[in-house]
Amino acid sequence: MGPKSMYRISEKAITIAWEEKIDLDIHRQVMQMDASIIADPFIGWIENVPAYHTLTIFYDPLVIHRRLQVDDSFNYVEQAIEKYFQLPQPVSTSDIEILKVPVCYDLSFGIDLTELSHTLGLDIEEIVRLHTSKKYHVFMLGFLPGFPYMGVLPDALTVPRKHIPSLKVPAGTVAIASQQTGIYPVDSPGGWHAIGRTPVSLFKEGKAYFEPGDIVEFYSISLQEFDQLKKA
Amino acid sequence: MSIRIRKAGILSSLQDHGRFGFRRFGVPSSGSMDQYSAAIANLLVGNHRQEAVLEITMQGLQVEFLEDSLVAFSGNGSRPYVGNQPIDINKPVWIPQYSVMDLKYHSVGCHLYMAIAGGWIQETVMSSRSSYAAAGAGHSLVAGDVLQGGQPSQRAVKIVEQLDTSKINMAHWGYGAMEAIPDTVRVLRGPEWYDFTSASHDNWMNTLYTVTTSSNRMGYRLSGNALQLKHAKEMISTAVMMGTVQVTPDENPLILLADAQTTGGYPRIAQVIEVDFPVLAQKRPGDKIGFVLVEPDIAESLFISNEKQLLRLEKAVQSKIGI
Repeated sequence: MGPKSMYRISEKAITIAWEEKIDLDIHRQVMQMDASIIADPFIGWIENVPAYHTLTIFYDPLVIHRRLQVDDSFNYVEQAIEKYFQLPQPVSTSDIEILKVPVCYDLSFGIDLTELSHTLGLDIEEIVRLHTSKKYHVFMLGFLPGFPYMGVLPDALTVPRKHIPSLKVPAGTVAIASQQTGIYPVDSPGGWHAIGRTPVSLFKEGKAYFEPGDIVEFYSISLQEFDQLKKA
Repeated sequence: MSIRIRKAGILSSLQDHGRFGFRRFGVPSSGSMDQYSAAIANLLVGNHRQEAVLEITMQGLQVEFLEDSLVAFSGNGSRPYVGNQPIDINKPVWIPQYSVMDLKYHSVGCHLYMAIAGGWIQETVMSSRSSYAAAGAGHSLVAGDVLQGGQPSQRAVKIVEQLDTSKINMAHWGYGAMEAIPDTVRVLRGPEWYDFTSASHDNWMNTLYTVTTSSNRMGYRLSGNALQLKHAKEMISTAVMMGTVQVTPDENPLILLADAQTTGGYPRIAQVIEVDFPVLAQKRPGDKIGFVLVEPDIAESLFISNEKQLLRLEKAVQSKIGI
């Protein structure tokens, strides 16, 4: 199923939108288009931002104007994008590596676990078992450098965001909201429910730990293991 | 050429023209809020116009010159003084070692830019010198910070030759008369424009919105007549950028700025056009803004003529220096 629309968001960015839903097949198409453009960028291309059902492409109208004597860069970029759609879709030959991420679900880190247990009607052990039972897909990075929006959560863990966001969620906090799970890369305010903490650094020296399209699995570690990994 | 920060003022940080290629990892472009003033300040000290400048938000900053320096100021929000002597903006200025400079109250605008010959040095993180602490790039300046200029260009050397370097000296030439900051900002229709009621369109285009105190480099929160959707809309997050006008659940507009997050899920009523970012950047809490709708082809041709204007300015500086 192809994209539903293409629209400009400014003089230098265009968004390709597929059907508006959180869906692995749609996201795969977003990532394929992302890869096609990066493999052979058009003149004036700057960068892509993949999200759940959209790919936003940033470009420089001045470069397009100067190098191609084109005054309507949106039209030029739209045509350039049409060409990528006509390319044969790349077939993935290698299996995608699964990133295994350690999480300590101790109550001192998962400060919302007790309340969630009441809201969801699940034991804390069951929440942990469910959270670690699935492979998650990284749909996009946003909110803060390196913050991964991952899904899809098991239905039993689906819970709306907090009404009043916490003022300070510590770096490494693993949290859930609606159908998603995420990790706070740095201390920040946040409206998701904290269920644990990872010792992994999500953004270091200009590099994000996750990329859109990654597959992630969580495994439970003890406080002791958390401290050891944090020191390592 | 170097300075030390003695008083931090409200907010100041080093910014260049921005950080590109990292939005997919959640890293915003950052960079100077008012790129036009930053470019002018740079050109006046012989720099490439995209060099790092010191962005000063309103008054209160105090700096000491540790060495003789060639600097230039452009923008608004504060005015530089050494003791009681006002320092001209939009001109190359020679400041001798040990001078102490205060950035004092100015009744209009929000961001002043200070360029130094050779550009301010800051560690390059992800191909940019722009400060953005959440990604480990630079920081908001604090008392005691020392800032160094880089290697002055040939143009800078020529400018210094024209000046009397025994005292504070301002060049006899500079960037023309200051224009008033317009009251209106031009916008494109946002992707969710048609999801808003026609009464909201009227409000947006025909009434003024006030910049609130909850405004910073991430965004300006505005207050004014309510902007309402025809029907409640649940959106899945997608890419947003500087100039994107989101409407938050309290029915007020929030304009995203240089350090804004890269994705968002609120309906977008409008997008401020690129050439009016400098206007927006000079609005401060309490200021009122009107919004005028333009078509995309107009926005693009304005963008291209703005670039031509900067190139003309660059040529004019060269002719003053004689290179």
